[in-house]
Amino acid sequence: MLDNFNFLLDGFAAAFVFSNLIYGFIGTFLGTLVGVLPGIGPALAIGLLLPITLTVQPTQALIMFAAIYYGAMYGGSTTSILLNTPGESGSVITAVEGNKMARAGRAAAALATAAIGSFVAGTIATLLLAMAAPELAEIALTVQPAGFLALIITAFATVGTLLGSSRIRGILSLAVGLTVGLVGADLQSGSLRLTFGNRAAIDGIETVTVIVALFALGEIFYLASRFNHGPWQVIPIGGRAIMSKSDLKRSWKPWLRGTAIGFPLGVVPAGGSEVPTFLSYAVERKLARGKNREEFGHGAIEGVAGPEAANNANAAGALVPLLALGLPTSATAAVVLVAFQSYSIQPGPLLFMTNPELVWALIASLFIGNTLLLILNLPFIRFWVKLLYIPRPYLYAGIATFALLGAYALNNSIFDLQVALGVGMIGYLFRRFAVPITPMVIGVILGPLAELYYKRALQISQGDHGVLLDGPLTKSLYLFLILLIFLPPIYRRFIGRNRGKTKADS
Amino acid sequence: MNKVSQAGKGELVFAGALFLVSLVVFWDTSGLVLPTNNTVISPRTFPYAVATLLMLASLGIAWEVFRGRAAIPEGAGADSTFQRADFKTMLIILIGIGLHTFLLERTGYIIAATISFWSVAYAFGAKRIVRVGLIAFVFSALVFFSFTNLLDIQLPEWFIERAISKVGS
Amino acid sequence: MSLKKTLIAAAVALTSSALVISGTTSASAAKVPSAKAKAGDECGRAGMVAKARGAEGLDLRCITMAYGTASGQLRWGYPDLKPLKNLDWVVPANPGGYSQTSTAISESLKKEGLLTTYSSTFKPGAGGTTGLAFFQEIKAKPESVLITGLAMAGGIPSNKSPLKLQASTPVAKVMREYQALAVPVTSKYKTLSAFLADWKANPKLAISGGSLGSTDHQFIGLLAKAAGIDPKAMNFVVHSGGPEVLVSILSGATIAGTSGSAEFQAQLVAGKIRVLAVSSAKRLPGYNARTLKEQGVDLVYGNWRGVMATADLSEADRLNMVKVFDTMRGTDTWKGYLKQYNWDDEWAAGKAFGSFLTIQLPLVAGVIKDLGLGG
Repeated sequence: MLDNFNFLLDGFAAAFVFSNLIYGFIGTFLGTLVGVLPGIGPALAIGLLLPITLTVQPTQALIMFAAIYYGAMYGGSTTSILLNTPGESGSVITAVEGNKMARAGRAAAALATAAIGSFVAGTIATLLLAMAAPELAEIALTVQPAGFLALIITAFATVGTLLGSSRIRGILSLAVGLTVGLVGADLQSGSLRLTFGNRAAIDGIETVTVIVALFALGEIFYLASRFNHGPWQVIPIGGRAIMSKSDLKRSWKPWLRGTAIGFPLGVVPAGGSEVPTFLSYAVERKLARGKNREEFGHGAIEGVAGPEAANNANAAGALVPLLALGLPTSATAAVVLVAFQSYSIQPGPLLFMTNPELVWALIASLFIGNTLLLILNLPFIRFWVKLLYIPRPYLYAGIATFALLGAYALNNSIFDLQVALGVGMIGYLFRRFAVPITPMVIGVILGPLAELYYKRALQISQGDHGVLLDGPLTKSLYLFLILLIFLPPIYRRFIGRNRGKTKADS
Repeated sequence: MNKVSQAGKGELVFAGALFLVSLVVFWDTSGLVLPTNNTVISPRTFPYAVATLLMLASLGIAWEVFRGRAAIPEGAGADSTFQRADFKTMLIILIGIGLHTFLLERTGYIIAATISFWSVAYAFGAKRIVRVGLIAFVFSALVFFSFTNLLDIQLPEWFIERAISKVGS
Repeated sequence: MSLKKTLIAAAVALTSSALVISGTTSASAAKVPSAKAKAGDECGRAGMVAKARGAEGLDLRCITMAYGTASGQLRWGYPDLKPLKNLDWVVPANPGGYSQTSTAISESLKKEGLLTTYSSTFKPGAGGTTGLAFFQEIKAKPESVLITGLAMAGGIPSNKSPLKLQASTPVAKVMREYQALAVPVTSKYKTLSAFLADWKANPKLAISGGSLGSTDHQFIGLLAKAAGIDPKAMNFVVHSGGPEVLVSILSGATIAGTSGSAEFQAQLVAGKIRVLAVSSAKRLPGYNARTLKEQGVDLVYGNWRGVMATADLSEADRLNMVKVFDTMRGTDTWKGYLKQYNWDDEWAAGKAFGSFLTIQLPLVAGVIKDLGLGG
């Protein structure tokens, strides 16, 4: 424990070099810049900015990443509040209450509670990450392939069945993702699957390409297909981004509760930020009393403060399994993983042993990025809002240009562009038929890993399937899964009702 | 059985297409060349499982549609009546991005990116063709030079890129 | 008086230690006589000639270095050498071992004034054959070079690729990295023979290593054969590389694992793993493990990496490039990289690299076939 603290101090020392702070600043700027653009969530923002970090030194790139990570999330909440176009599922709830607040002339307070709440949650969650990840890495060293498989199956089950309008659509999305993940040479046997004689397909389909195409191109196709030619309405911010005393009083408890909900749900593979933000919203709504309660659905500050904190804490929580197990459990984590790998850093139990200075520099950078964000962005909120006035044709054309560039520049491969076009069409169809996107992303990322661990476990046991249930971890995870199957009726009773209501309200 | 709505028909086609994909996965997997070395689990096992899941899920969607629970498109309220999708706008973008993919390594980055930028901007309502084209060209050139010079990222070049960098230096 | 004594004693101690220090530094760069000269070594007098000591039987001449870290010093070298302007690397993989080597080469060349700029194109896939195919289509670009190695030598037959590595121009084999076979320190196997005996009784013991057909796989296959086990029957569990292999053996999922010796160094020093054997001919310095040969297994095997130029390179350009690489070998910067990465200084320049390939490639293809791949 004391060791970790010293390591963290070293990490701060590494990150606090002036040139590194500059990278942190650039990251914050770029992250917010891209995150503010409508329709762009953190995963896509990092995906689009990936080419930029490819040429920077590892430590500086990590610092830039941490800053981009938080910057993009902050930018996303701004857009949700002022424009009601959440860039990713975690900001949906922010859009609901935040946009109502903005319409009622309280945009400034909504933006402030989102920013400060994100900062509070981010700081606490990063602290928890600093404490939990090394311990978990220690434990993770004892996890065998069967345990990894159980973790992945848990992630499949949670994202496949908890997200979206219906279970069957979630499962369909997952299945499509798994199919995309099949393409290429099988690691264990070298057999070529679904390549149809295309040499470029042998290495499989690049995760970042899928994410960029699904989120950016899919969204553009979809918007084009139902485009109304009028300009959109940006709600002006009245006054500075500042909160009144009563706002603060109403916000701080939701911040803490949001953090408490968001972080653990990020650590367990529950597939992204949708569940924790909805949960936090439901909790705040339940706990609100009197007049505040009546404000729910019409712009209650608790409904922004809680979910925003939950969203940020969740994002930091997702870094725990990523760093300690090498297991990305959300789209954002998957992009971060790709970024790590481009520096030949392999997250996993050994990372803390082999590259402690890098991990701790990253964790320290998360703190710094988070703080820079608050310092730099609260006063400059007006500047970011200006971005929302970019004419839509140029905005979308710009997003498309960077998406295509990102898809190509990763491997300098035309095949990746063809994939992007195809996956973009899938993204369109999914939006059209209300199929959730996240399960597909999780399927693409974790599908090949699931097969890998399944085969590895059985290769080691020489075909004895009993090995899949070995150990307390696998048993408890599968028990959790069985509960999950019986839990949804209860889940629907408490949360589904609220969710239905917010949908109707919006 | 309920009458399937217009939107529902589209969704049935969607489910049908995915059903076909699952058949393709089955077919492709059955034709896999198996390795001769010692592998316990065949490379066919997992694809078969995935194909089965995809097949069942697409059948499930079809079942939902027949029961009158067709999807509500993202962003549209439950009460909004179904509108025909504007395929013309979408087609312009598709062609633009298709051309980008086709031309990128043939005529260099700037031309390819100018075309895709132009097509997206045009589709989203920027109708002053020449002005949009000019903006697209300048933007693409800016992106090209900032990525290749500042970030050391290689992008395909043709005579335009070389000509501009000659003038610049 | 006593103070004076102390001062004298201190002065003696200082001078003698200074002598020792200067002695050790000059020892590492001692003047090398013409009979033992290699390019880049120090030499005594300008104009001396070392007959046929250079690459491809060329003469070396004692010259004053005009650039690099040895600038101004007398070194064995090629007077007519022209430093390279640019190198365009084709790396047949994602960033990793190959690019580590190409970067070490480029940085050494740059620091020693033998190269001005370099860039890399990554073409991963299909055991390196994607990158090889890409490289062999390049025409009329004398600055294009390919970083290759044992993984590609195995990748060609296991992917049934019709490409021939020798169709390109060999420049130099620059290093070798030997394999280590490791078990966790808690393992019941204290010696190689105990492990081999158990393995022979039960060929299905799970052994972890890199990807299919990789150096790791080839090595375990050869080890199996040497121990009297059919390589097709063994239980080789593939992983993405050294770090994953370590996790696999530390978690107890696999009984033993193999990787390049450097991958295990940190955990070996930390006392978490035991290395049963290394595949080198002699023990590796600073590496607490015995060789296979010492333990009665006649096997020396390790990953090598080298550089190829395009097929249409002119003879003059080829010879110059060979000279540039050969000069780099003796420089302090390159030696620093060898030490840093635990690489063995196994060098073959120009035609010598070509002859090495002629023997090596069929041998590797045979190993791949024994493993049941590419058939």
